[in-house]
Amino acid sequence: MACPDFDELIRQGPNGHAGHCDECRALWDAWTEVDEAFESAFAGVAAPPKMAPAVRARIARELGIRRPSILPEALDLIGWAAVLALLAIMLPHLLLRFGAALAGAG
Amino acid sequence: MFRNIGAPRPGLKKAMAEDFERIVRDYQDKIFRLAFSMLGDHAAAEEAAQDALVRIWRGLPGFRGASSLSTWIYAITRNTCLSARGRRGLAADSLEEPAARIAVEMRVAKAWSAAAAPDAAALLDRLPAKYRAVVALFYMQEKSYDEVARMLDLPIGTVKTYLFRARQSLSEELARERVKKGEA
Repeated sequence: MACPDFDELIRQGPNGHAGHCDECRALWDAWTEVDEAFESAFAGVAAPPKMAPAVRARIARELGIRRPSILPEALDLIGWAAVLALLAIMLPHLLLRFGAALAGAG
Repeated sequence: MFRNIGAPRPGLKKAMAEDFERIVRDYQDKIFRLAFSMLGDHAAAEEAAQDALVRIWRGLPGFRGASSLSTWIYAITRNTCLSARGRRGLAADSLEEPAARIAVEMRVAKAWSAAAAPDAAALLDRLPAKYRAVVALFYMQEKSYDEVARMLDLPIGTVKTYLFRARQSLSEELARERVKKGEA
């Protein structure tokens, strides 16, 4: 009996030609073993449970680096605003005193 | 699904965070499997998968849906893995690169014994590089040709051909060795 092509042999399964030809039976068995070896090694492979939390932590770190707190800037702004307000209040008095002092000296 | 992507509006940051969480939930396993199939090493795959997810998060505001979300995610993952392979001194080219030796972490010292059940790592090691990722991913992805083709960006016909040739060559080799052993 002529042996069928490999793909035909696989299509027929163990009860086809492989059922009564030792060499093709060995080929069919090897195909099944290869299939089972890969299936048991790779089926159900999943991401490690700690992967997603690690990604979230990396992103949180990155967000922290990218967006520093606005508090120092806000305090800086408040400070400068206070200095300017103080100057605005005091400057007329200082100018008046300076003018009076100049007039007194003259 | 992913209604928020590409729709700038108030609350985008929160919407983006929700979309990203959905991506992590739906794709983390697939991203890891793709990385594992390309790198052949658990630790390297985890690192690359993390890098890919961070890149996805960074790119999410700019994703406008020109390609499907999965196509975009897999492309980022493949590129991340190719960079990782480059850093590790492995051929950073592509799956088409002929017969480069990829380190397989699962490889145990066990030689291919003609009597024992074949070891998956030893079997993979006997295959040309271009077949390995396809074979590993096929079994990880519950034997879905379509999914493997999309993940590796290969035509489905190529995936089927690679798989058939890989399994055929391994089966013939194993059967030959078994017969030889039986005769000896």
